[in-house]
Amino acid sequence: MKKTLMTIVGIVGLTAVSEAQFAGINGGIMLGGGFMEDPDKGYGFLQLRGTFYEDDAVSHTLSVEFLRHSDDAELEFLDLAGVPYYENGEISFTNFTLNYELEAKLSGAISFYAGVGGGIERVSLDDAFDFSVDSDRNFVGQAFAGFRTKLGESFFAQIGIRHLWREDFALLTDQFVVEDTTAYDLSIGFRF
Amino acid sequence: MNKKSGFSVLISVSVSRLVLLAGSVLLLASCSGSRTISADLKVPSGETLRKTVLGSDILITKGSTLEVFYSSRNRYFVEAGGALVGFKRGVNQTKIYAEKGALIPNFESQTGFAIYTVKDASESYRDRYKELVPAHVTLNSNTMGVAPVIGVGVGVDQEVWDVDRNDWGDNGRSSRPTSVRASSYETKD
Repeated sequence: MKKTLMTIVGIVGLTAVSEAQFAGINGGIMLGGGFMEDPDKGYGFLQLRGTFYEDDAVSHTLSVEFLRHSDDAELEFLDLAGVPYYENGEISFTNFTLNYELEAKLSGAISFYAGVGGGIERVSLDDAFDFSVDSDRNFVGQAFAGFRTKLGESFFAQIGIRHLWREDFALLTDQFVVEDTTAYDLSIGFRF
Repeated sequence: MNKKSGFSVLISVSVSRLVLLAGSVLLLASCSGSRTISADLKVPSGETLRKTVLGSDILITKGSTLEVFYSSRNRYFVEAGGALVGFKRGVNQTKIYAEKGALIPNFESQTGFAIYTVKDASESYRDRYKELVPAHVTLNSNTMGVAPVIGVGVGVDQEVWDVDRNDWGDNGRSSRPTSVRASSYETKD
């Protein structure tokens, strides 16, 4: 039920962003990367944004975000005689979230932003030959804040902090523990 | 009307061909890295393959390279100019029949294999089911010698291995992992 609701909200948000140019909503794209404390991993993200209200003081924005990081894994197999052997693998984590952001304009170029969001984290296990072995899906929530600066008429850059609430995941017969974490990121964006 | 429909057909044909080409490329790419289990494989000249190999017979031809991650209960036949490398994940009950001039690993500290020098690796591969393991040969890293692959009255090769080698079908046990460990995430137990 939770996943269905998130999927529906995600589709509505994506539709809203795609209609930005034709319904008085300003659209935008943001690309960035960051580092999360637990685990010690870097990540990349892409945001599709739609600002549905803006004046001289504040703006309200909805966005759909794709955030991804990966981790090395070791897979255990049994050979024809039942003797275990090992191969390298990779676990990839992809977050699909719908977010709300409030931006407060501090000066002509600098603004402060803060927001919350939620969605799905898809965990996928690939073997040494990039074949998908197993996957899992869980809920993910986030809160974020930071400072943004304009770069010309259409571009902007920002530095921010976010807190992620993540659930434990399971792959094959193994259950893994996931800690909530704080992350720091940098990004650049384009408004249209 | 005819021009418009003809243009649409041209577009759909072009897209179909692109999809078919992309699918073929993906299929070929997927075949270059995988597991070979209870099978016979000839590595074509000029090809480089990366595999885990179990219970199989492999011919590595001149100009080709086979990088093995893990090897168990296999026979490799390496022509001069061919390369057999890797084994970083281990080797177990493996025999290598190599011509002079073939590149084979330097198994200084590993056990679980035997190396034989042969005159013609391709012929040895063709006659592999006639193999007779000499009684005085033991399977360890210090074994180096000339062993006739063509034997006398052995019959089927199943006698070389135990009954597991007769399982020519993929029983699923070797191709699907049983467990996984992540480098940055702990398990609950």
